[in-house]
Amino acid sequence: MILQANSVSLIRANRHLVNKAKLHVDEGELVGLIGPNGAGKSSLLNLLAGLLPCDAGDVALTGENIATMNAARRSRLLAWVAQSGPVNWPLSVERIITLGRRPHMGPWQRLTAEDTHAIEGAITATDCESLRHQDATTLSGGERTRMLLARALAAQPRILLADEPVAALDLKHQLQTMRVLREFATGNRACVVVLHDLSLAARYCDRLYLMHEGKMVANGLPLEVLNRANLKDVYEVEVEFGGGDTPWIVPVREV
Amino acid sequence: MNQAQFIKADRRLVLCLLISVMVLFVLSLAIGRQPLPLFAAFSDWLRGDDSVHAIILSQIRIPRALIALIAGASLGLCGAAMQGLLRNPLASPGLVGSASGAAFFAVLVLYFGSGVVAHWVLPIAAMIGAMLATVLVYMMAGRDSSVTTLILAGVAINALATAGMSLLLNLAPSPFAVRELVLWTLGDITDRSMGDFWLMLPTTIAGWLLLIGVGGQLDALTLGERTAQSMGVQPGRLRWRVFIAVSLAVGAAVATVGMIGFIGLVVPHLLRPYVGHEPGRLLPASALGGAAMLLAADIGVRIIPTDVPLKVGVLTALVGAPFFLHLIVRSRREYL
Repeated sequence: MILQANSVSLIRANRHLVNKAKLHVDEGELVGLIGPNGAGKSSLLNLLAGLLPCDAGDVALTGENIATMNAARRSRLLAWVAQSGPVNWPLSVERIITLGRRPHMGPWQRLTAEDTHAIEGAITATDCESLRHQDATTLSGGERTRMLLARALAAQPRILLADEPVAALDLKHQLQTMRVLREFATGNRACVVVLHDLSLAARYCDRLYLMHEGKMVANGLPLEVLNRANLKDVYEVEVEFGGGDTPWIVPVREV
Repeated sequence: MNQAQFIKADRRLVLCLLISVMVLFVLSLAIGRQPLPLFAAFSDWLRGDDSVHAIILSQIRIPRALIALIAGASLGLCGAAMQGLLRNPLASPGLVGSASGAAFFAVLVLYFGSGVVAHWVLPIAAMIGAMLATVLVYMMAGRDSSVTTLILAGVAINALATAGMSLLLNLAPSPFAVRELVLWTLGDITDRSMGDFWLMLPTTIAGWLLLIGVGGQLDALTLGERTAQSMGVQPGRLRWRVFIAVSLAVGAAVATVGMIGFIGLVVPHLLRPYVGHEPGRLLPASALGGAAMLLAADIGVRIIPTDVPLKVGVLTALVGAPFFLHLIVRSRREYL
């Protein structure tokens, strides 16, 4: 078990954004986190990344409590991709992706062959080659998302937490990003991804967690979690299923 | 560009800046009301001959040039560090009030205890003032500060410090005291001794040392505080480190030369395109650039023929304020 949340809660202004949520991720798993807007998915991801302290419960990363873990060590094991992260200075795309190597480098150290290899691999995987020399502040939403994912991949973490990495992408890059995450989550690595597209979730993820109003309401194999009853209760829609090997789920009417 | 080319480009830039600093330093020794034959003056001084030239060199020109050098470097470096920390090209020690906070506290000490208290009280008071102003602005503007909020908070703190200084000027007992206080607010490097230099040196160096190694963390902050945190940066710690460093270095500079504005704003901005806009690489370049600019300005006030000698802070403000206007107009287009 690489990452485990033991009944974690996040309370802000007397509201439980995350309410005693339990989650675990094994090595080689691509785990999807789904739920309607405001269900607490991003908040939970922040707790899993150790970016916010839990108000109750705890998060264990490779068996160690993430709250007391050395920040440098944590940043080598875990990478987190924000939902629509800012880019404050007009650095080139390549230099932004290079920032991903920071956890592995000393303050005065130069890039080694290993660093360059990781950076080039991340650029190829996310199709950022043509953007390489562009000013990162002028990218479109989808291009920026790919660049920020490349930054996280360049860090070569054991576990990757990605917050809606396909939300702003065109169809080709949605499939490409899901494939990259799928390929990433092999061996001793794993990935947790927040998704809104239930078809992609059903098709690519090993397991799903369904959140509603801060609570974890269902978890298990994708098609077990995505049943009509759950979707009606949580998303308040009726859906059509289909596809077989490449499942699709389409909402047809509000409840 | 790959890493090797970056390192090469950085070396070239730093070398260029270093050469300009050295040239300006030598010019600063040679140029003045009395042109100084440098070789003769140096050889007299080294022989221990107390010629007029040797005395002008060792007791007037050298302290003046050294103080301009390290005060300018502090202002440039701290401007670059503040801009990196707040991720805002309009941040600088002058605009966010660190400098005026330092000046107010220094004037306070001058007013109440000039000559009575020990000489090291002045720089310490200036540092506390700088720290207080910086933290207050930060508390008002918040962590995800927009350009507008930050500038407004800076205006408020500057207004407060100026009001305090005006009050002290108003209540000053003698024309002599008024003159001394006014000199502070103008910014001036004339009539400084080696004693002043040695007094400002330790805190200045302490401030610089604190900023060593923050470059990479400022780079990570480019992606926002949260992402930087996920990359191993501890934003809270970094913030205090930069605030303390700026307070030490700017406090020491202001305590010695008064308020010299706009260097911390202009220098990082001019150099940023040459370092690929990377906040970390900007730090050393800005330190050298700041030193070069203050040395140049201090030479400028000596060669501009005015009846009453110009104060160096007046000159930097005359150049810097229009530049600031230009920046605001541009950032309005980009950010607001």
